[in-house]
Amino acid sequence: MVANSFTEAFLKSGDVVLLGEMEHHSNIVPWQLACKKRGVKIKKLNLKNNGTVDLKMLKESIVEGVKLIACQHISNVTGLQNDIEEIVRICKKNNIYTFIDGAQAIAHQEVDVQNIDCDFYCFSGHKCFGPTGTGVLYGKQELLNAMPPYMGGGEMIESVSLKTSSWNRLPYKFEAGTPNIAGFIGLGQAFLYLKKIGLNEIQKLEKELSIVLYNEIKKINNIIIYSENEGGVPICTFNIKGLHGYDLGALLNEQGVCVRTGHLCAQPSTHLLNTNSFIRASLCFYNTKEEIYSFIERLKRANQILSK
Amino acid sequence: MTLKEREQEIIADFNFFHEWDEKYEYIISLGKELSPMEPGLKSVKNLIKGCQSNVWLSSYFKNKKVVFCADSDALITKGLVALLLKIFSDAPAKEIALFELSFVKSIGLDRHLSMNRSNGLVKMIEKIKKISLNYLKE
Repeated sequence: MVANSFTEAFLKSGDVVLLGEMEHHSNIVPWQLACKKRGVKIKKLNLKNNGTVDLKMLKESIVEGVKLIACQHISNVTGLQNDIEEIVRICKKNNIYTFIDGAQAIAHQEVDVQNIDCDFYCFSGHKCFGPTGTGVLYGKQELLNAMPPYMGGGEMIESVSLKTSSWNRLPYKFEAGTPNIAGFIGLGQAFLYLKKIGLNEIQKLEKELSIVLYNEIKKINNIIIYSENEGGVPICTFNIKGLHGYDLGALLNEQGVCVRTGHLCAQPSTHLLNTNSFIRASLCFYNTKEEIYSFIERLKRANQILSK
Repeated sequence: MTLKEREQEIIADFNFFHEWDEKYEYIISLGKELSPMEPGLKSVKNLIKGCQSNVWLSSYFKNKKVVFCADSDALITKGLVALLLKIFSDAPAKEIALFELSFVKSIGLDRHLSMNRSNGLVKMIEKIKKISLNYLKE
Protein backbone atom coordinates (compact mmCIF):
# COMPACT_ATOMS: atom_id res chain seq x y z
CA MET A 1 0.00 0.00 0.00
CA VAL A 2 2.76 2.45 0.95
CA ALA A 3 4.83 1.46 -2.08
CA ASN A 4 1.91 2.34 -4.34
CA SER A 5 0.37 5.36 -2.66
CA PHE A 6 3.58 6.96 -1.39
CA THR A 7 5.28 6.55 -4.77
CA GLU A 8 2.30 8.12 -6.49
CA ALA A 9 2.20 11.10 -4.15
CA PHE A 10 5.85 11.80 -3.50
CA LEU A 11 8.08 10.28 -6.17
CA LYS A 12 8.66 11.19 -9.79
CA SER A 13 10.51 9.66 -12.69
CA GLY A 14 14.25 9.55 -12.02
CA ASP A 15 13.92 9.52 -8.22
CA VAL A 16 15.67 6.73 -6.33
CA VAL A 17 14.59 4.21 -3.68
CA LEU A 18 17.40 2.56 -1.68
CA LEU A 19 17.14 -1.16 -0.91
CA GLY A 20 19.61 -3.59 0.67
CA GLU A 21 20.14 -7.21 -0.35
CA MET A 22 18.98 -8.55 3.01
CA GLU A 23 15.42 -7.36 2.60
CA HIS A 24 12.55 -9.86 2.58
CA HIS A 25 10.86 -10.19 -0.81
CA SER A 26 7.89 -8.34 0.72
CA ASN A 27 10.06 -5.25 1.06
CA ILE A 28 11.53 -5.55 -2.43
CA VAL A 29 8.83 -6.68 -4.85
CA PRO A 30 6.15 -4.04 -3.97
CA TRP A 31 8.77 -1.32 -4.55
CA GLN A 32 9.76 -2.87 -7.87
CA LEU A 33 6.13 -2.98 -9.01
CA ALA A 34 5.35 0.56 -7.89
CA CYS A 35 8.64 2.09 -9.06
CA LYS A 36 8.35 0.56 -12.52
CA LYS A 37 5.01 2.29 -13.06
CA ARG A 38 6.45 5.72 -12.25
CA GLY A 39 9.95 5.44 -13.65
CA VAL A 40 11.52 5.50 -10.19
CA LYS A 41 14.88 3.76 -9.92
CA ILE A 42 15.87 1.22 -7.29
CA LYS A 43 19.44 1.46 -6.08
CA LYS A 44 21.33 -1.12 -4.07
CA LEU A 45 22.41 -0.08 -0.63
CA ASN A 46 25.73 -1.76 0.09
CA LEU A 47 25.77 -3.60 3.40
CA LYS A 48 28.32 -4.98 5.83
CA ASN A 49 29.43 -8.60 5.30
CA ASN A 50 27.00 -9.72 8.00
CA GLY A 51 24.12 -8.06 6.14
CA THR A 52 23.50 -5.11 8.46
CA VAL A 53 23.42 -1.50 7.34
CA ASP A 54 26.80 0.22 7.53
CA LEU A 55 26.15 3.84 8.48
CA LYS A 56 29.19 5.05 6.55
CA MET A 57 28.07 3.20 3.40
CA LEU A 58 24.57 4.58 3.91
CA LYS A 59 25.93 8.14 3.95
CA GLU A 60 27.90 7.39 0.77
CA SER A 61 24.76 6.02 -0.92
CA ILE A 62 22.88 9.22 -0.33
CA VAL A 63 23.28 10.95 -3.64
CA GLU A 64 21.11 13.27 -5.70
CA GLY A 65 17.71 11.72 -6.37
CA VAL A 66 17.53 9.37 -3.36
CA LYS A 67 14.11 9.96 -1.81
CA LEU A 68 13.36 6.90 0.30
CA ILE A 69 15.03 3.99 2.04
CA ALA A 70 13.08 0.79 2.66
CA CYS A 71 14.92 -1.07 5.39
CA GLN A 72 14.36 -3.94 7.78
CA HIS A 73 14.55 -3.51 11.55
CA ILE A 74 15.70 -7.12 12.10
CA SER A 75 16.70 -9.58 9.37
CA ASN A 76 14.59 -12.71 8.91
CA VAL A 77 17.75 -14.43 7.66
CA THR A 78 20.28 -13.56 10.34
CA GLY A 79 18.22 -12.12 13.19
CA LEU A 80 20.70 -9.25 13.29
CA GLN A 81 19.35 -5.83 14.11
CA ASN A 82 19.96 -2.61 12.23
CA ASP A 83 20.72 0.59 14.10
CA ILE A 84 17.37 1.88 12.98
CA GLU A 85 17.35 5.09 15.07
CA GLU A 86 20.66 6.16 13.58
CA ILE A 87 19.59 5.18 10.04
CA VAL A 88 16.45 7.30 10.43
CA ARG A 89 18.45 10.20 11.88
CA ILE A 90 20.88 10.19 8.93
CA CYS A 91 18.03 9.94 6.43
CA LYS A 92 16.04 12.76 8.03
CA LYS A 93 19.07 15.01 7.94
CA ASN A 94 19.21 14.39 4.20
CA ASN A 95 15.44 14.71 3.61
CA ILE A 96 15.04 11.03 2.81
CA TYR A 97 11.86 9.23 3.81
CA THR A 98 12.17 6.02 5.84
CA PHE A 99 10.07 2.89 5.55
CA ILE A 100 10.90 0.27 8.20
CA ASP A 101 9.90 -3.40 7.92
CA GLY A 102 9.42 -4.44 11.51
CA ALA A 103 7.98 -7.92 10.90
CA GLN A 104 10.87 -9.65 12.65
CA ALA A 105 11.24 -7.19 15.51
CA ILE A 106 7.74 -6.66 16.76
CA ALA A 107 7.32 -9.85 18.80
CA HIS A 108 10.83 -9.84 20.23
CA GLN A 109 11.36 -6.41 21.75
CA GLU A 110 9.63 -3.17 22.57
CA VAL A 111 9.29 -0.94 19.55
CA ASP A 112 8.65 2.77 19.99
CA VAL A 113 7.90 4.27 16.59
CA GLN A 114 7.88 7.81 17.95
CA ASN A 115 11.34 7.36 19.36
CA ILE A 116 12.59 5.77 16.13
CA ASP A 117 10.92 8.70 14.33
CA CYS A 118 10.61 6.81 11.03
CA ASP A 119 8.01 7.84 8.45
CA PHE A 120 6.51 4.35 8.18
CA TYR A 121 6.78 1.18 10.24
CA CYS A 122 4.92 -2.00 9.37
CA PHE A 123 4.59 -5.60 10.45
CA SER A 124 2.44 -8.62 9.73
CA GLY A 125 0.03 -9.92 12.37
CA HIS A 126 1.12 -13.53 12.06
CA LYS A 127 4.65 -12.58 13.13
CA CYS A 128 3.33 -11.67 16.55
CA PHE A 129 1.02 -14.68 16.95
CA GLY A 130 -2.02 -13.07 15.35
CA PRO A 131 -4.11 -14.49 12.51
CA THR A 132 -2.75 -14.58 8.96
CA GLY A 133 -3.95 -11.85 6.65
CA THR A 134 -3.65 -9.13 9.28
CA GLY A 135 -1.01 -6.45 9.63
CA VAL A 136 -0.23 -3.04 11.03
CA LEU A 137 1.07 0.09 9.37
CA TYR A 138 2.26 3.14 11.25
CA GLY A 139 2.73 6.25 9.17
CA LYS A 140 3.25 9.96 9.75
CA GLN A 141 -0.12 11.64 9.59
CA GLU A 142 0.87 14.38 7.15
CA LEU A 143 2.26 11.80 4.72
CA LEU A 144 -0.76 9.51 4.97
CA ASN A 145 -3.04 12.51 4.42
CA ALA A 146 -1.15 13.45 1.28
CA MET A 147 -1.20 9.93 -0.13
CA PRO A 148 -4.03 8.79 -2.43
CA PRO A 149 -6.14 5.77 -1.41
CA TYR A 150 -4.77 2.41 -2.47
CA MET A 151 -8.08 0.64 -3.03
CA GLY A 152 -11.65 1.85 -3.36
CA GLY A 153 -15.04 1.09 -1.82
CA GLY A 154 -16.43 0.43 1.65
CA GLU A 155 -15.70 2.81 4.50
CA MET A 156 -12.92 4.64 2.66
CA ILE A 157 -15.34 7.06 0.99
CA GLU A 158 -16.82 10.31 2.24
CA SER A 159 -19.12 10.86 -0.71
CA VAL A 160 -19.48 9.31 -4.14
CA SER A 161 -21.04 10.55 -7.34
CA LEU A 162 -20.62 9.08 -10.79
CA LYS A 163 -18.12 11.76 -11.71
CA THR A 164 -16.03 12.05 -8.57
CA SER A 165 -15.56 10.84 -5.02
CA SER A 166 -14.01 12.16 -1.84
CA TRP A 167 -12.29 10.23 0.90
CA ASN A 168 -12.98 9.55 4.52
CA ARG A 169 -10.43 10.65 7.14
CA LEU A 170 -7.55 8.51 8.37
CA PRO A 171 -7.33 5.62 8.89
CA TYR A 172 -10.55 4.82 6.99
CA LYS A 173 -9.18 6.27 3.76
CA PHE A 174 -6.90 3.23 3.52
CA GLU A 175 -9.41 0.65 4.74
CA ALA A 176 -11.38 -0.17 1.62
CA GLY A 177 -13.94 -2.95 1.52
CA THR A 178 -15.28 -4.95 4.42
CA PRO A 179 -12.57 -5.15 7.06
CA ASN A 180 -11.14 -8.46 8.25
CA ILE A 181 -13.06 -8.02 11.51
CA ALA A 182 -12.51 -11.48 12.97
CA GLY A 183 -8.83 -11.36 12.03
CA PHE A 184 -8.26 -8.07 13.81
CA ILE A 185 -10.10 -9.18 16.94
CA GLY A 186 -7.66 -12.10 16.90
CA LEU A 187 -4.73 -9.75 16.44
CA GLY A 188 -5.91 -7.68 19.39
CA GLN A 189 -5.92 -10.82 21.53
CA ALA A 190 -2.41 -11.66 20.31
CA PHE A 191 -1.22 -8.22 21.47
CA LEU A 192 -2.84 -8.77 24.86
CA TYR A 193 -1.09 -12.14 25.09
CA LEU A 194 2.29 -10.52 24.35
CA LYS A 195 1.56 -7.72 26.78
CA LYS A 196 0.65 -10.20 29.50
CA ILE A 197 3.98 -11.99 29.18
CA GLY A 198 5.79 -8.69 28.65
CA LEU A 199 8.22 -7.90 25.86
CA ASN A 200 11.09 -7.37 28.29
CA GLU A 201 10.47 -10.82 29.74
CA ILE A 202 10.27 -12.26 26.21
CA GLN A 203 13.59 -10.64 25.34
CA LYS A 204 15.16 -12.10 28.48
CA LEU A 205 13.85 -15.62 27.79
CA GLU A 206 14.89 -15.50 24.16
CA LYS A 207 18.37 -14.28 25.04
CA GLU A 208 18.88 -17.35 27.24
CA LEU A 209 17.57 -19.69 24.52
CA SER A 210 19.73 -18.05 21.89
CA ILE A 211 22.88 -18.55 23.97
CA VAL A 212 22.12 -22.26 24.44
CA LEU A 213 21.22 -22.67 20.76
CA TYR A 214 24.49 -21.15 19.56
CA ASN A 215 26.58 -22.99 22.16
CA GLU A 216 25.18 -26.31 21.04
CA ILE A 217 25.05 -25.76 17.30
CA LYS A 218 28.67 -24.57 17.20
CA LYS A 219 29.73 -28.03 18.38
CA ILE A 220 28.40 -29.66 15.18
CA ASN A 221 31.18 -30.65 12.79
CA ASN A 222 31.43 -28.64 9.58
CA ILE A 223 28.72 -26.19 10.61
CA ILE A 224 28.56 -22.90 8.73
CA ILE A 225 26.70 -20.23 10.70
CA TYR A 226 25.43 -17.18 8.84
CA SER A 227 23.80 -15.35 11.69
CA GLU A 228 26.32 -14.92 14.58
CA ASN A 229 23.45 -13.68 16.69
CA GLU A 230 24.22 -15.18 20.08
CA GLY A 231 22.16 -13.55 22.78
CA GLY A 232 19.84 -11.84 20.32
CA VAL A 233 16.68 -12.95 18.53
CA PRO A 234 16.79 -16.76 18.93
CA ILE A 235 17.23 -17.83 15.34
CA CYS A 236 20.21 -19.56 13.81
CA THR A 237 20.71 -19.76 10.06
CA PHE A 238 23.22 -22.35 9.02
CA ASN A 239 24.38 -25.03 6.63
CA ILE A 240 26.48 -28.13 7.12
CA LYS A 241 29.40 -28.16 4.74
CA GLY A 242 28.93 -30.67 1.92
CA LEU A 243 25.24 -31.29 2.63
CA HIS A 244 22.18 -29.84 0.96
CA GLY A 245 19.77 -27.90 3.14
CA TYR A 246 16.81 -29.62 1.56
CA ASP A 247 18.13 -33.05 2.64
CA LEU A 248 18.72 -31.95 6.22
CA GLY A 249 15.33 -30.24 6.34
CA ALA A 250 13.54 -33.37 5.08
CA LEU A 251 15.24 -35.61 7.65
CA LEU A 252 14.59 -33.17 10.50
CA ASN A 253 10.99 -33.01 9.39
CA GLU A 254 10.77 -36.81 9.61
CA GLN A 255 11.93 -36.51 13.20
CA GLY A 256 9.34 -33.92 14.10
CA VAL A 257 11.55 -30.84 13.89
CA CYS A 258 10.40 -27.95 11.73
CA VAL A 259 13.13 -25.86 10.20
CA ARG A 260 12.92 -23.52 7.27
CA THR A 261 15.12 -24.36 4.27
CA GLY A 262 15.80 -22.59 1.00
CA HIS A 263 16.16 -18.89 0.31
CA LEU A 264 13.96 -17.83 3.26
CA CYS A 265 11.98 -15.42 1.03
CA ALA A 266 15.12 -13.33 0.77
CA GLN A 267 16.81 -14.52 -2.42
CA PRO A 268 19.20 -11.55 -2.77
CA SER A 269 20.59 -12.36 0.69
CA THR A 270 21.87 -15.72 -0.60
CA HIS A 271 24.16 -13.81 -2.98
CA LEU A 272 25.44 -11.56 -0.23
CA LEU A 273 26.08 -14.48 2.12
CA ASN A 274 27.52 -16.61 -0.66
CA THR A 275 25.25 -19.67 -0.63
CA ASN A 276 22.37 -21.17 -2.61
CA SER A 277 20.17 -21.97 0.33
CA PHE A 278 19.95 -21.81 4.11
CA ILE A 279 18.56 -23.84 6.99
CA ARG A 280 17.02 -21.76 9.76
CA ALA A 281 16.18 -22.94 13.23
CA SER A 282 13.70 -20.39 14.54
CA LEU A 283 12.96 -20.41 18.23
CA CYS A 284 10.64 -18.36 20.32
CA PHE A 285 10.18 -17.60 24.01
CA TYR A 286 7.86 -20.59 24.47
CA ASN A 287 10.56 -23.06 23.41
CA THR A 288 12.69 -24.80 26.02
CA LYS A 289 16.36 -25.65 26.40
CA GLU A 290 15.41 -29.35 26.27
CA GLU A 291 13.90 -28.76 22.84
CA ILE A 292 17.20 -27.26 21.69
CA TYR A 293 19.15 -30.32 22.91
CA SER A 294 16.63 -32.57 21.19
CA PHE A 295 16.92 -30.57 17.94
CA ILE A 296 20.72 -30.90 18.07
CA GLU A 297 20.50 -34.67 18.55
CA ARG A 298 18.14 -34.97 15.60
CA LEU A 299 20.34 -32.73 13.48
CA LYS A 300 23.26 -35.03 14.27
CA ARG A 301 21.15 -38.05 13.27
CA ALA A 302 20.21 -36.38 9.96
CA ASN A 303 23.87 -35.53 9.37
CA GLN A 304 24.84 -39.14 10.08
CA ILE A 305 22.32 -40.56 7.57
CA LEU A 306 23.41 -38.17 4.86
CA SER A 307 27.13 -38.65 5.46
CA LYS A 308 27.10 -42.45 5.11
CA MET B 1 6.87 -55.22 -17.26
CA THR B 2 4.11 -52.62 -17.31
CA LEU B 3 4.50 -49.34 -15.43
CA LYS B 4 1.91 -50.57 -12.95
CA GLU B 5 4.01 -53.67 -12.26
CA ARG B 6 7.14 -51.55 -11.85
CA GLU B 7 5.32 -49.39 -9.37
CA GLN B 8 4.07 -52.42 -7.43
CA GLU B 9 7.65 -53.64 -7.20
CA ILE B 10 8.70 -50.37 -5.56
CA ILE B 11 5.82 -50.53 -3.11
CA ALA B 12 6.84 -54.10 -2.23
CA ASP B 13 10.47 -53.00 -1.71
CA PHE B 14 9.37 -50.28 0.69
CA ASN B 15 7.24 -52.72 2.65
CA PHE B 16 10.47 -54.16 4.00
CA PHE B 17 11.19 -50.96 5.89
CA HIS B 18 9.50 -50.17 9.13
CA GLU B 19 11.64 -47.28 10.33
CA TRP B 20 11.72 -43.88 8.71
CA ASP B 21 15.52 -43.80 8.61
CA GLU B 22 15.77 -47.14 6.77
CA LYS B 23 13.43 -45.78 4.14
CA TYR B 24 15.53 -42.67 3.63
CA GLU B 25 18.78 -44.59 3.58
CA TYR B 26 17.30 -46.73 0.81
CA ILE B 27 16.13 -43.67 -1.16
CA ILE B 28 19.59 -42.12 -0.84
CA SER B 29 21.25 -45.36 -1.97
CA LEU B 30 18.99 -45.46 -5.05
CA GLY B 31 20.15 -41.97 -5.92
CA LYS B 32 23.76 -43.00 -5.60
CA GLU B 33 23.15 -45.93 -7.98
CA LEU B 34 21.83 -43.65 -10.76
CA SER B 35 24.01 -43.67 -13.87
CA PRO B 36 26.08 -40.52 -13.83
CA MET B 37 24.78 -37.70 -15.97
CA GLU B 38 27.17 -36.17 -18.46
CA PRO B 39 28.19 -32.71 -17.20
CA GLY B 40 27.11 -31.19 -20.52
CA LEU B 41 23.55 -32.37 -19.90
CA LYS B 42 23.35 -30.44 -16.64
CA SER B 43 22.27 -27.40 -18.60
CA VAL B 44 19.81 -24.63 -17.86
CA LYS B 45 17.54 -26.24 -20.47
CA ASN B 46 17.42 -29.50 -18.52
CA LEU B 47 17.04 -27.86 -15.11
CA ILE B 48 13.60 -28.31 -13.58
CA LYS B 49 12.52 -24.90 -12.33
CA GLY B 50 10.79 -24.43 -9.02
CA CYS B 51 12.66 -27.06 -7.04
CA GLN B 52 14.44 -26.18 -3.80
CA SER B 53 17.35 -28.29 -4.97
CA ASN B 54 18.69 -28.43 -8.51
CA VAL B 55 17.27 -31.28 -10.59
CA TRP B 56 18.36 -31.92 -14.16
CA LEU B 57 16.41 -34.22 -16.44
CA SER B 58 17.39 -35.24 -19.98
CA SER B 59 15.97 -37.88 -22.31
CA TYR B 60 16.28 -39.64 -25.64
CA PHE B 61 13.88 -41.68 -27.72
CA LYS B 62 14.90 -45.18 -28.82
CA ASN B 63 12.79 -48.04 -30.20
CA LYS B 64 9.63 -46.06 -29.37
CA LYS B 65 10.71 -45.88 -25.76
CA VAL B 66 11.74 -42.85 -23.73
CA VAL B 67 14.95 -43.17 -21.75
CA PHE B 68 15.57 -40.63 -18.99
CA CYS B 69 18.73 -39.54 -17.28
CA ALA B 70 18.71 -37.32 -14.17
CA ASP B 71 20.78 -35.85 -11.39
CA SER B 72 20.36 -33.58 -8.39
CA ASP B 73 22.62 -31.76 -5.95
CA ALA B 74 20.52 -33.01 -3.00
CA LEU B 75 20.74 -36.66 -1.99
CA ILE B 76 17.08 -37.24 -1.14
CA THR B 77 15.89 -35.44 -4.25
CA LYS B 78 18.28 -37.55 -6.32
CA GLY B 79 16.83 -40.68 -4.71
CA LEU B 80 13.29 -39.53 -5.45
CA VAL B 81 14.19 -38.93 -9.09
CA ALA B 82 15.78 -42.38 -9.18
CA LEU B 83 12.46 -43.84 -7.99
CA LEU B 84 10.60 -42.01 -10.75
CA LEU B 85 13.10 -43.20 -13.33
CA LYS B 86 12.71 -46.80 -12.12
CA ILE B 87 9.08 -46.50 -13.19
CA PHE B 88 9.20 -44.22 -16.19
CA SER B 89 12.54 -44.71 -17.90
CA ASP B 90 12.83 -47.05 -20.85
CA ALA B 91 9.06 -47.18 -21.31
CA PRO B 92 6.70 -46.39 -24.21
CA ALA B 93 5.93 -42.68 -24.45
CA LYS B 94 2.19 -43.23 -24.56
CA GLU B 95 2.22 -45.37 -21.45
CA ILE B 96 4.23 -42.73 -19.57
CA ALA B 97 1.93 -39.93 -20.61
CA LEU B 98 -1.16 -41.83 -19.48
CA PHE B 99 0.14 -43.39 -16.26
CA GLU B 100 -1.22 -42.12 -12.95
CA LEU B 101 1.31 -42.63 -10.16
CA SER B 102 0.11 -43.84 -6.80
CA PHE B 103 3.25 -45.16 -5.11
CA VAL B 104 4.27 -41.85 -3.55
CA LYS B 105 1.39 -41.96 -1.12
CA SER B 106 1.48 -45.69 -0.50
CA ILE B 107 5.12 -45.65 0.59
CA GLY B 108 4.54 -42.67 2.84
CA LEU B 109 6.40 -40.08 0.80
CA ASP B 110 3.40 -37.88 0.12
CA ARG B 111 4.81 -35.22 2.41
CA HIS B 112 7.31 -34.65 -0.39
CA LEU B 113 4.40 -33.64 -2.57
CA SER B 114 3.03 -31.11 -0.15
CA MET B 115 5.91 -30.28 2.23
CA ASN B 116 6.80 -27.16 0.36
CA ARG B 117 5.28 -25.46 -2.61
CA SER B 118 8.69 -25.27 -4.18
CA ASN B 119 9.29 -28.98 -3.75
CA GLY B 120 9.93 -30.50 -7.09
CA LEU B 121 8.41 -33.98 -7.10
CA VAL B 122 5.23 -32.76 -8.81
CA LYS B 123 7.27 -30.73 -11.26
CA MET B 124 9.48 -33.73 -12.02
CA ILE B 125 6.46 -35.89 -12.82
CA GLU B 126 4.97 -33.12 -14.97
CA LYS B 127 8.22 -32.74 -16.88
CA ILE B 128 8.58 -36.50 -17.46
CA LYS B 129 5.04 -36.60 -18.88
CA LYS B 130 5.53 -33.49 -21.00
CA ILE B 131 8.72 -34.87 -22.54
CA SER B 132 6.91 -38.13 -23.37
CA LEU B 133 3.99 -36.26 -24.93
CA ASN B 134 6.41 -34.30 -27.09
CA TYR B 135 7.97 -37.55 -28.38
CA LEU B 136 4.48 -38.83 -29.21
CA LYS B 137 3.80 -35.73 -31.31
CA GLU B 138 7.02 -36.14 -33.32
